[in-house]
Amino acid sequence: MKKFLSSVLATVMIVVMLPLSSAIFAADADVIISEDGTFTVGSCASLTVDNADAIVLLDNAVIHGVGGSAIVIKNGSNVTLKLQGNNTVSGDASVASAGICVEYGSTLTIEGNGALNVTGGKYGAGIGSFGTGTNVAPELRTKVGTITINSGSIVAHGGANGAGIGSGYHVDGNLVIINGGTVYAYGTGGGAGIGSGYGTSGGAAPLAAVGDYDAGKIVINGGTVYASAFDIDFASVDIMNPATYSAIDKNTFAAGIGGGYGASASSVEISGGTVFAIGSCGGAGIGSGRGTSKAKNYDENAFRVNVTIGGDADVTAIACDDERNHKGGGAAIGSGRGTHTGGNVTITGSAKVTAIASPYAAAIGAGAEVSPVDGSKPVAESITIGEGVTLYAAAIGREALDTAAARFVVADIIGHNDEIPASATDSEVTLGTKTYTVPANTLSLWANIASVSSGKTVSLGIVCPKKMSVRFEDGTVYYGGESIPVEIGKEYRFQMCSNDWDTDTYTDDGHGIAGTVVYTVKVSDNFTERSFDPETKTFVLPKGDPVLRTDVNKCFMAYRYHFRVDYNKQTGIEQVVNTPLESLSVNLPLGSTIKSDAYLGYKYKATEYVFIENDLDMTRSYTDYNWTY
Amino acid sequence: MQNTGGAYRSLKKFAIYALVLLFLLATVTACSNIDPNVKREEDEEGTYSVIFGQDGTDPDSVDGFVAYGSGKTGVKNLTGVDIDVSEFAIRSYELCFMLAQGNFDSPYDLSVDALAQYAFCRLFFDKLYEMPASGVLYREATLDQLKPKVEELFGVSDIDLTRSNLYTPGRGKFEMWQPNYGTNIYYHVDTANLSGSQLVIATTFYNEKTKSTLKGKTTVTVEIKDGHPIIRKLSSEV
Repeated sequence: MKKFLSSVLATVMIVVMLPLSSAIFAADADVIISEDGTFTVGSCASLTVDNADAIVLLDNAVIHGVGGSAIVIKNGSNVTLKLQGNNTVSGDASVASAGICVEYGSTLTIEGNGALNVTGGKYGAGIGSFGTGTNVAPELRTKVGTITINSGSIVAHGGANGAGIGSGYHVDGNLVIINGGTVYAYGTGGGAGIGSGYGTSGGAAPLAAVGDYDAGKIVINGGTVYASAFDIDFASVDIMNPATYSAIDKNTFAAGIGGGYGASASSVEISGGTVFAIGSCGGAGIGSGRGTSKAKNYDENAFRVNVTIGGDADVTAIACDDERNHKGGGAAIGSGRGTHTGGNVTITGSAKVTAIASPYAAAIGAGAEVSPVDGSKPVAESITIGEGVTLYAAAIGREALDTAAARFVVADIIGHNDEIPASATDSEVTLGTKTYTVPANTLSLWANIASVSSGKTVSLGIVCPKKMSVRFEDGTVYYGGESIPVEIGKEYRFQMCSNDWDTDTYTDDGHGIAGTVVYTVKVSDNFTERSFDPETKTFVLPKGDPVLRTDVNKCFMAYRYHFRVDYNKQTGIEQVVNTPLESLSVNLPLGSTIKSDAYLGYKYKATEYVFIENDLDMTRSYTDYNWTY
Repeated sequence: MQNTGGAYRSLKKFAIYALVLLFLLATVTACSNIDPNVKREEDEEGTYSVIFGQDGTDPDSVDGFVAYGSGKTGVKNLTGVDIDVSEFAIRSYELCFMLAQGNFDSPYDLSVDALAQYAFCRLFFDKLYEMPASGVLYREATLDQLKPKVEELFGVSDIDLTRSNLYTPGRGKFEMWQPNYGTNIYYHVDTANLSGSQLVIATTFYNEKTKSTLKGKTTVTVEIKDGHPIIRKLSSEV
């Protein structure tokens, strides 16, 4: 009996009702916030905000939902989730659930300097809604609340058939707004990166035909956004060489941004930021998911695609297709394969757009295959491209732009469709400043090449060695995990600094030590260039993944202090390790001079001055320093 | 009785301090042509008997940083060339404590990184202790500027400075974040002895003007090359 009671007690979850302005760090607790206020939440079993307007500081939390979503926002709640440190959130992969479930009528705003890695549960989105394995009529579907991202570093993976950010399986999207931050969103099994989860292949028509499900409204005003229909390393993608990404396409049939498999994209609006979207096997890069070849599975009246790009947005969209079925795939911007229209695409302002289609689809316009309605070649309803736009569009076996669109407005014929002599092998073609690897049998390239963008900014992430920081020429010190806005193409000089270990900060008033070696960082105007030039000590980073990694040999030297017998002997370093420690390994900037002190049983013994420089073996980032004591 | 004796001893002590103070004031007043940032007592041949900070000038009250010296700080003539002993005592401090190059028998023993950095700083500052102690400032220099500076300081011209971390081959120049070396220096020149063609200067450095804690000792050997004094070697204890 006693044993039984113990077991029961052990399995009962602690439920914590948080009072106003409180903090909870209880890994076993089901935390429920039901009052307005500001709260700090660390690791817990689950977090629910119920009918409350709450600011929740998520502080290095690990929350894995068991039997449901990890975080639930419901009953008209308005939640601002402030990220601090590294947070990991996931739904239950065996139960229909999201990572963060935002129920219809509630809102979620994410911001802060921290990071969030979130994964949906079964059928669910990473951030958005849970899903269901059953096809649902439009009037009966679960809906999603409003999701806004203002800042932070976010990686969102959909659970099975879910979107990274948006809706789950058989659920319509609602409203996703991204104003800032760095966002990586990956759909899974038919879910879009950002948009809807897997809609339908049409087998349940007329209950729910292809086109009935919709991604809702997606608005991107700023930030750096990577969205893919499948898990992919964006840094590895050479957009000018389709082989580098189509070969690894996972055939999920969803758009990068827009509809999941069988789902429309009724409203995608991009007015700023840097966006990189990848669709999969019939799904558009930005637009709808893949459709169908069967008229009975398709709802002509429901299917729609509307994409607007403007402002100073920098957008790259590509549609992957591993050509396994040799029928072609989705447009880069427009519709997926197997639809009756490419929808409406408008690009204006000073936007810069690079669109690479999959075979036989337009780069901007309709996807490949014939219309499921009447067997005709699908084209866009309207394409508008303003005169300030910088556009590069490439298609294989088809015009890059749907010039046959019912409304085709391109300012001053700023581009051209080049006929490419059919070649049985891959070749390279240069248009303007870009060289494109042309797959065999490509027929057309279209491009408007304007000058490379300048003055556009991206968010440069900073990675530092332990207890170090970087200081830029304007005097600002940045620590690991922080980011800095930088102009594309502009060079920035910086120095390495060791922090004061007590505060883990660097200041000029005796806390930490600065190096003298000058390093430079530049974000290039493409998604793939990443290098370190030792001749100029310059890091060149791709705008697709602008992260400055200074935790490399050339940026610092780790000094490891040893005694003849280490027991009860310590090393201190003035301004860095002010509390002497045993087994000390200190990361130090090149060109600095440190004052090292030896202690025996915390009693001062001796001092040595050391000039910090590279190890003779340049492949090593550490130097062993041996005290004679 | 004990109290009376104590009062007498105190009075005697006060009188001695007053005399010392008067002597100090007279000495400092006489030194009108010295670098205003280098406070020193021209006590070249006498026995060291000056207490730091009692000359009426508080180095901390002077703008910027100061080197506050005493002992045998005067000028020595080595093979016809006048050598400012304080200047080389301070250089020994720079090499030992700022660049951690406190022991070398020849300039060729110096770390190239440290040598280039030292010469680089010397292009912009004659005294490194006068450099700012905070802030971030980018500096650049050419090999044509650095090589003569190294030769001026150490009398060698065949060290490949481009092996230094500060050299950026892709830009063909040296680049450096200016080190924040600015500090006060408190020193006493113990000996400055001529030995053949060399001048050997032994200096003791302290952490504070009250000379209460020892920072270290250096012995620098100076030679004349092409009519200019250069550092030949340096040893130190810290």
